[in-house]
Amino acid sequence: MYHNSDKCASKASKVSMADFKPSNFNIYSKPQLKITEDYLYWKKYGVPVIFKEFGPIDFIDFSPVEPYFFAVTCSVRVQLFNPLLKEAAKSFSRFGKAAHGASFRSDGNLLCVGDDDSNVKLFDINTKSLLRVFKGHSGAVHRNFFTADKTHIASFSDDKSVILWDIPTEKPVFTFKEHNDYIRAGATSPISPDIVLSGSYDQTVKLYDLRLDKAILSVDHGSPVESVIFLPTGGIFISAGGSQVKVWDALAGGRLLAKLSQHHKTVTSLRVGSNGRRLMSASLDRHVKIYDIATYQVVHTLDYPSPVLSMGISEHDDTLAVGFTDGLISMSRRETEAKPTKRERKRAAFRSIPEDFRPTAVDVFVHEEDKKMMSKHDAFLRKFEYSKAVDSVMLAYIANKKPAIAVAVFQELIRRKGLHGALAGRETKSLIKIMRFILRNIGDHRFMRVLLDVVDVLLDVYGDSVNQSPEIALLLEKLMNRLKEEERMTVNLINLQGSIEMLVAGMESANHPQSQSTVDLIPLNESTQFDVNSIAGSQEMSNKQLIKTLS
Amino acid sequence: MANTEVRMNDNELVLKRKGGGSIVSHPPVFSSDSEVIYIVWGNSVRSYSTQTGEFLQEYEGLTERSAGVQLIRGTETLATCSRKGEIIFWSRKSAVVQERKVTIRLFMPCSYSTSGLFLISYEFLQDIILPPGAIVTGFHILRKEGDVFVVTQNSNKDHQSMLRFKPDCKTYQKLEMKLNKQIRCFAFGGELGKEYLGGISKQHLYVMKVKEGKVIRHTVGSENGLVCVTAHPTEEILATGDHSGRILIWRSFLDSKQPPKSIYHWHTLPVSDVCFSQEGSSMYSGGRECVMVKWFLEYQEKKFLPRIGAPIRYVVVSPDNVFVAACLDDNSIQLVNAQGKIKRVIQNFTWNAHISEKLPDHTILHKVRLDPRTNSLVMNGQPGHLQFFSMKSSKLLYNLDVVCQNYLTQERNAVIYNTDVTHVAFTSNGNWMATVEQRKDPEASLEVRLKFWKYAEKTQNFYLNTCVEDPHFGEVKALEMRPGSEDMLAVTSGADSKIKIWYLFGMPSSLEKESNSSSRECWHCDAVCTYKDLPVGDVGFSFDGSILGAVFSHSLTLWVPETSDLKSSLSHPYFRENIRQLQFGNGDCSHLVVCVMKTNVVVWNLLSLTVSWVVPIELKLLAADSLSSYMAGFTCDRDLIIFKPSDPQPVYTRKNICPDTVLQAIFVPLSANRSELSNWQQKSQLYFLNQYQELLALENPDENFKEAAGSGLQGDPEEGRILSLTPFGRMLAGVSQSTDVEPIESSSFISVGVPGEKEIKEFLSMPPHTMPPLRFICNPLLASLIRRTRKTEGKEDPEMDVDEDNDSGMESEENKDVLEEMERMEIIDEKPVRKIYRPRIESTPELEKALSGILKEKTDWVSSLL
Repeated sequence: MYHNSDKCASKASKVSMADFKPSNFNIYSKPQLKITEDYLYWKKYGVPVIFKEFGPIDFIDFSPVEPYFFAVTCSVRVQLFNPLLKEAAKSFSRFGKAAHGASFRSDGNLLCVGDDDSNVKLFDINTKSLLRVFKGHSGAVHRNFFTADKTHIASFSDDKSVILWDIPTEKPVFTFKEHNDYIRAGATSPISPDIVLSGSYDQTVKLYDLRLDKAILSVDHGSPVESVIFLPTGGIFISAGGSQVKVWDALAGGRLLAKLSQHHKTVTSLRVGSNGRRLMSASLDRHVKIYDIATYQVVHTLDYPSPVLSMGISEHDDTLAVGFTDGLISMSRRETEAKPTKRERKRAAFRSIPEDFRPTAVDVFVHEEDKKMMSKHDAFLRKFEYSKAVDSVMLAYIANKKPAIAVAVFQELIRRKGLHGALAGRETKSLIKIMRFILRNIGDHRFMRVLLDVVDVLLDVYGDSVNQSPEIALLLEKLMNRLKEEERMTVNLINLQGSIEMLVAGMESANHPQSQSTVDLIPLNESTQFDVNSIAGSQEMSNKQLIKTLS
Repeated sequence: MANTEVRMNDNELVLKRKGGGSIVSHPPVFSSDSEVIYIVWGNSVRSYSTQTGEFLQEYEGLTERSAGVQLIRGTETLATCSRKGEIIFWSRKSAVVQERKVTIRLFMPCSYSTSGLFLISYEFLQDIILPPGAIVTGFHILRKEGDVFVVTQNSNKDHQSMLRFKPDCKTYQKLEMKLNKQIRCFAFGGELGKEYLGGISKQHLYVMKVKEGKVIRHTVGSENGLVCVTAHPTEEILATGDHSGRILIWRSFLDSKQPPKSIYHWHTLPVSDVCFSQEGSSMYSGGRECVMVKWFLEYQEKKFLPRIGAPIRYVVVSPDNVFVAACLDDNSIQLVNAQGKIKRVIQNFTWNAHISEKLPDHTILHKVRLDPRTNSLVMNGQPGHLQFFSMKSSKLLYNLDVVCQNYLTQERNAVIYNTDVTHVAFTSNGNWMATVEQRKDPEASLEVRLKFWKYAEKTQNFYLNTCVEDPHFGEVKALEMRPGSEDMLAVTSGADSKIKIWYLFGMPSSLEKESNSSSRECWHCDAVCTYKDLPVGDVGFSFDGSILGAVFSHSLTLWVPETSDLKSSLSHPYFRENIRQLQFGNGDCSHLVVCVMKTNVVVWNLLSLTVSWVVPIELKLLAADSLSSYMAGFTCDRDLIIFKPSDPQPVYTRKNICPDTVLQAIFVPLSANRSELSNWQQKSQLYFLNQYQELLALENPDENFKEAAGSGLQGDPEEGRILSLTPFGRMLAGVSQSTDVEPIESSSFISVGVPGEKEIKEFLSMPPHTMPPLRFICNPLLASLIRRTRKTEGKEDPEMDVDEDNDSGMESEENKDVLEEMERMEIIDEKPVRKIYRPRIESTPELEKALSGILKEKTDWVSSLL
């Protein structure tokens, strides 16, 4: 199934009758990706710049002020990168052991970093000087954040405690020890300085109100929590852990609003992008998914080469930085500058005509023809050179990369009854090419019908001389096995479809006990239903016949 | 009873041809200045401008089908000969009959011996008698007052003969030729005074110097028979095409026994026609390959115009070599210029090559539809195309390429199957069209494609939106789109015993943002329904679109389209035949469903879920009127039955309506109600298509309907102003005319339809709280009223006075609230509407035509007046 708005739509009046219509391979190509606004928006990120660090990238945080430096915490140092110059600007390396979770204050002047020495260190960004060291934890501090009033830091430690520090006095103000396991995730409310959120490996997320001096809310995430985040309104928080992301309503006492299970490995990082309209989740399954906050539907997916550990995005989505387990950081910027438009090529035919030329009555004005670009195989088809058309699509590039074109040419030859001629009289070498192509693609339901016809013709033409070439015989045998396998799979799929139908019917009748049981309505997803049908019902018989002929 | 009266009235109805008819039955003729092309069309000859492709005028007077047209050399006289041998001369410019001659008259009375053929009764009747069944198939007139050559065909002989008449058409001589049964079996050439004749039979070429009258026979050595011959207008060259695709050029054939010939071979199929350019240095040929070949005789070079659209029948070169006219099998004439570009197309009603070729498994549309936007008939056109044929103007609007594939021509050793459209359906507003195309080749797997097209207002064109490969496993049996303006929904049923419901998803987007809008609309399969694994047949929607009916074998099942829930299943224990066609009633019969079975017609009542009535009749076709509750059925015996689903008694029947097979039938809404006709004809006209692809309709005999694109010649014909007859030219002519001629009182005609009706309806249907401020509505509403008063003033003064009285009376009670004001406006509006409505009822067809033209005029200027 494909959707196509204008590629082959035409009214006869527009396309002159005598025009050769190119063969339409769209019908055999894969369904096009649906082009959405989000797709185009997120596609605008240019080629990523890769930085190499030592060890897994623990945390990435963007400065909230221009020029939006981002701090990458990795191993024993924190590096500040300049997204415009695409290079490291500053480095903070005054750590004895690994540093964790460097995060900016909302004015972008201060940076707080936790480390494996159980300390939280506060740096001035401009001078790189160490301003404060907060001591009091007994385990590694993995996350620490400034509160909304800018004067406190909340730190989340492996000693199962959350401590709120007062920056001027360097003293802990509150200590919460309500978790039973490492606390590896935390957040401070963006609107209230009194609200702190912590997520722990004991699978719970707790919300603390400093005014009450205790956890006011505890929700069970269901797996060790890797990341928690508040939405900009502060009323909703999101937790990630395991392969799931859960959305909670803090104001409604921790009601579960949504459960997003789009990843198949642990989700490591959460971010809010597009000024609060998009939620992003990064996972070890090497994907970053982007959700619409309004619907919690995935609107786009970014793919990366290695498992993603941390992720940060600047304001206005200008820069996206993603850190991987293997110590690489990928930073990409949105391309905003307009590309210079191509100057229109001057028509060749008019080049030699003087500018002031005006045709007179005696001149016969012959309009220049618009020559259409035509692909090679179409040119051969137009000239009725069928063998050459087949040769042209059996070249490695088309046969391997764009099998749809080759299949479309085969289909056109079948329509024209020219396939016998096109396949006849071939040498073993080119025949092997065709056989291999068929072997490779016959399992694809888009191509199956056409290729089965092609095999029919091949057997018609070469059936008697198969034994003369051992290679061909071998390939034919392979093909037979392949078809047998397909048939077996078809039967399996039909079985599966049967069981699904039974389940669906059972569900239907359970839902609507009054409805008649004879109705077997199958509201199957269109694509699965299409696949199953086309693979299943359609080809079984012809497969069988072919296998008979082949054997 | 009223009913019987109607029937008496109905019996006077006659069958009329409303469209179709071949324009390529005989080769066309160019005028000597190449500006006009003359085309044989049934009983008459029509002229078209080569500059614009517009119809100019019609030359009438023959009582029989014409057997060709000829422009007599050196004169301005057009001649044609009927199949019965009557020759008519027209003045080329005025279309006035100059002279009639009768060469042969068919031998009618049986008292004469049929064995005597040509001789016996000549003295008595002053006519030449032909045996019954014999016709004239071709003719040639040497010059004005010159000899007349006539080719006659006798149905029981496998060859044709040629007769040479003296100018008075009284004495004749039969030439020693046995000609082929093709139109192009003879040719005249040579300069004035040195004319020669060439004729062909399968193995022989006959040539004759016209002056001497002695026939020489040259034998062609090849096994393949000759199929066409052509002669050069001035020189002694003949070209013959043969069955194997070769063209032989003959020279010096008049004197030598062994004339030299040269062979030109490119065509793979038989050559249909050859034509020399005026200098004789090149020639054009065409055949079933759809390629027009231009041969340069001296250099043995050739140029091609490929993919001309359909197999070529005739090729004719204009006297100034500027145009080549190629007559195609799809009933079109393409004018090709010297650069090999198609410049003009003269086309009337496109023929489907599949029907004309009578391919073994030709596929045609299961149901002809009406495009709701243009009210045009949508049916098969060129292979893979749909033609939109306007019923209003009897003109082909356009051919829409649906399959987007090259037309594959037949080959000598193989039958080629082209993809063609088998189903088409429209939504009620015409915004969406769904098509199903199919290629059924016994040697390859079936190709079926379901396509959804969106109409773009901006470009006035259909654009492909969604294409579904193999929507069903196997053929698609039926395709319907839900009527009504609700969300878009389509249903297909297939050979896999399933019905599928297709929904339009996504938001509509403007065309320019089509590619990057977030949720581009496209069609998806929403549900698949089966019923007891029975084979599925026809599907249909009730007229309001609320119920989907699907035929599963002998059961009629009813579904809710939105949820695809089965509501009920109807089958009768006695009538267990497969239901072939399903049709929901309309109007007062909307609760009834007509099911056509093989030998019965069963009507179900959907309210009581019972059978209303059953009539044992074999219906082949069933068509329903969308404006009334009448339905038309065609039986296998070609009887027409008009009935209402509510009543088993037919409203109108007509035995053996036409001698040909009826392929399709459809009701086309009339532009205006016609109460003078019988009930079933008032709102819609029933059209049907016969196997010759002619569009027929039943009409009152007095309605002289003219299928014409233009109004014919205006002004002084002898002044040669023919070419100014473009629509623009006519407009200009109308302007200049009006200066000295009393202007036609058009003011009383303008009000066809109900003026201001739309605005008032809009005004009244809107809930008061959703209404925009009155100042916004007021302007257009008043504008619509003012326009009408302007039209009525002058002629209908007294009634206007009444209106004004009403007005003033109302105005006295001024301080009423808005709602009452609205009511009052309604009252004011209603009256003049009716008043103007009445005269239209007595209008004649000509008047109607004029009115519909005026109706199209823009009225924007009215608002500027305000």
